[in-house]
Amino acid sequence: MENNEFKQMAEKIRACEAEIGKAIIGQKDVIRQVMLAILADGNVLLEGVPGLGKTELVKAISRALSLTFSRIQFTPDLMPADVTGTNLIVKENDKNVFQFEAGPVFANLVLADEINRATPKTQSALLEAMQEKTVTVGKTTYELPKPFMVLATQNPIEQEGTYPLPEAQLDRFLFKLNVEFPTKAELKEIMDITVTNRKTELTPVITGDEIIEMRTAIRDMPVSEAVMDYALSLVVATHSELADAPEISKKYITTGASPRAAQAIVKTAKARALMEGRFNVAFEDISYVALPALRHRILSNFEAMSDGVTNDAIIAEIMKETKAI
Amino acid sequence: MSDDKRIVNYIKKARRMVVRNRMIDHMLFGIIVGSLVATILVIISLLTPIVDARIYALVIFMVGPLSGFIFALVSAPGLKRAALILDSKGFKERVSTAYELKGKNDRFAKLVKEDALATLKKTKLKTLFSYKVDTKRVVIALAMMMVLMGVSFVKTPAVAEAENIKLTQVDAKKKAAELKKLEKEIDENDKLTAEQKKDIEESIKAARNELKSAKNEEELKKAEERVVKKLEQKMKEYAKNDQAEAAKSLADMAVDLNNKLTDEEKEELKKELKDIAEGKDDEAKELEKDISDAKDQGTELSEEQLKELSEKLKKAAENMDSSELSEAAKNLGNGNVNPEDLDGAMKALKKAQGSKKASDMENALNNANKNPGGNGKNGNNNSGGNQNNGNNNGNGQGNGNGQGNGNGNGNGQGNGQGNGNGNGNGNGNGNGQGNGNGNGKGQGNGNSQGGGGKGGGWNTGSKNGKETSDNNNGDYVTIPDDKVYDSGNLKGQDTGGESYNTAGGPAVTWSGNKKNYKQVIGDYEKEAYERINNAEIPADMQEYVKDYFNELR
Repeated sequence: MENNEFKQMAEKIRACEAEIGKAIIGQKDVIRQVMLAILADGNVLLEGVPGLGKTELVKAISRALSLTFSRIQFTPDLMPADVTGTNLIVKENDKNVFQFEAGPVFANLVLADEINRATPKTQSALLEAMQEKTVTVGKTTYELPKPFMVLATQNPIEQEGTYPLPEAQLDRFLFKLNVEFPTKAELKEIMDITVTNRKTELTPVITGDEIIEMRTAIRDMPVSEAVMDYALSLVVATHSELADAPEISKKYITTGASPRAAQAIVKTAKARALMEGRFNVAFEDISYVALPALRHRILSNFEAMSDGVTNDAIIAEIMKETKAI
Repeated sequence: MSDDKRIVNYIKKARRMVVRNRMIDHMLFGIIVGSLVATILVIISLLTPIVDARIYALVIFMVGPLSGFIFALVSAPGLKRAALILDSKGFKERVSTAYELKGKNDRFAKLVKEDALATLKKTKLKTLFSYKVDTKRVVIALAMMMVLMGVSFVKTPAVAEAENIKLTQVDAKKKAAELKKLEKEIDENDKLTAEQKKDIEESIKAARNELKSAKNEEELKKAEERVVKKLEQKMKEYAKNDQAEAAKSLADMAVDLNNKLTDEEKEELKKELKDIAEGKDDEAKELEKDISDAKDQGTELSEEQLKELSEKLKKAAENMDSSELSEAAKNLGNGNVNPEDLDGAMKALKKAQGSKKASDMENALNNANKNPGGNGKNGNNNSGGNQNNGNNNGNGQGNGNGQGNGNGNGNGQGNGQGNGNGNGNGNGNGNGQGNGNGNGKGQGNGNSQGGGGKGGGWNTGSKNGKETSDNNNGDYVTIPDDKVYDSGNLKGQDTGGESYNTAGGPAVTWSGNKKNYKQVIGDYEKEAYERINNAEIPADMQEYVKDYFNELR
């Protein structure tokens, strides 16, 4: 693959971002980070109050990427089979046979809306799909379409009647993105689009195959020792049980980030380098992806909660204390 | 050139610039720190004497930037580190990644290297690593240097004292070097035994330390004097030991000779030696008198008298075997009576006398050897000539008592006092005082003073010792001359320091003319009055002098 091909890839990704940006006003970082997760073959958990356009964002991405899209509204009575699909008895050549009826998970992009409203049993139905990209019903395992990605959303304020995601499931999300309230100017633009008859048409920019090709290319991107060391240092610094852990980790963190966090950081950093038109990972790539890759992977203690210290604040402090060089 | 090499060259270039910049920064910092420390040192030296404080300050000041320079060199980054430093200038880890991919040729390695080189080409490293002057730091460094220079020129008593100490140290160093040379010479000296050498070397070593520890000129002078005295005493001690051995063997020989000679022979030898010792030569003396008379008479000398004188000279020339005397006799015989001839005759006579005396002495000794039993008596009794002197080479003063009874030879060393009683002289080598009562005289070599009064002996025994002042309290004042008197007592005085006593050998005593104390005072009084009369001295001062002498009476 030559220099020009990489440049074309980077341009396509940027074009895709621009296309998504037509439908989603503001939230540039969220769009960028979702794109990184797609390129890094990961799943994303979007967290934000209702009405910030989370669902719309996922829809826009599917359209810009020319990928199949399905949406699952998670409710307490949602059953795993409602997600994965089930075997139905159908008549075939005058015989009653079981036939697998694929669930909504069989799509390139799956929007698990308000995932924390479903019971853990149903939530766990997504585990295999997210990690293995397969679904097992009965004794048969079905491969999910490629590329496959789950974009889940959850509401941080309405905790009643919800089932917080277990740590194991949280760890399977490459990124957890916080969708912030738009600025006034952005809000005005949102009004222009949503309360008028103006329709936003999105043109597919990248195909599924191209995404797979990009994923393959990115995996070979070199990472210098110093950069890799920085990424690993950040992950290690979240472990309060280690002697050289930063004070803030020791004070507020109960459980540190898993090795999946390091993988997530490096993979997404590579994707970002490509998007930036580079063939190597820089410190700034690591810094950029560290927060969304780590924030849902550390478990803070009660002291942090009582002090009002969020995971984001802890990670920001860790990043400040961990020097790149 | 390969991409790898080009990338390495860029990194090396960047490293040089990084080192240069760090060097300037560290040197500037070193100047500030060096100036600060040097200034503190100089300020302290203004209050308390510190030798070479300014030199140290200068060294510290120079060490500051030098350390900065060295530190910058030592802490120069490696290529990998330099690549990261280069990356930090906006290359986004392109260079370090490319450097790590050195030697690899996969597609990404190529792309990374090309990308790194393309980015490096667009950038001027000189601009990127140009040294940015830290104005604040430069101003502080200049200010610190100004302050240092300012305080360096301030003069205080402490500075002056330090300079004095320095001069003393330089002198001490020179003297120590001389001692070192001396030590070498002693080491090469074959006449000294290994024990003596070791002893002297230890003394020199101690002396060197003493010189080094001298804090001012006075101490140095004293230390130096002490060193000289110590070494002199050592050498004398060794010489004395040698002499004692020689004297012992001579005494043995004398005893042996005495046993072998008959009484008659002894008397004869005694008389002969006495005559030689006293220079008794009637014939020569008579002739000497005649020549002297002839000189006085000058041209009035009769022909007969001249002839008689000539005859006498001729006879003496024959006796003394002197050609010069013979020539003088011949001239007088010719009737030449000028003063030059008479002077020539006198000189020839003296010379012949000298030769004869030596010859006689030799003969007497030869005879004595040839004729055992013919030994003359010395007449001087050595048996009572015992003298103990204190010799203080250490700290303080030593006790030493020396007594000489009768006529004897004895050397004593001691710091302190020597008392001589009776008719005797005590000779004290060393420092101290000698008191002589009666007709005795105490004489101290070096700083001692002999006489009826206590001499002011300067204590070289120790820097802690005390120096006694002159004090006349004797009844008699003796005046040294060549006559030999009975020995006296010599007594050392303790001045309270490390000491050791050396038993002296037979004392060599020197006589002195006895003068009545009142006579001495009278002489001084007379002289003082004469001076008062001959000089313009205020009346009240004249009275003051007179009162002084009245009180003395």
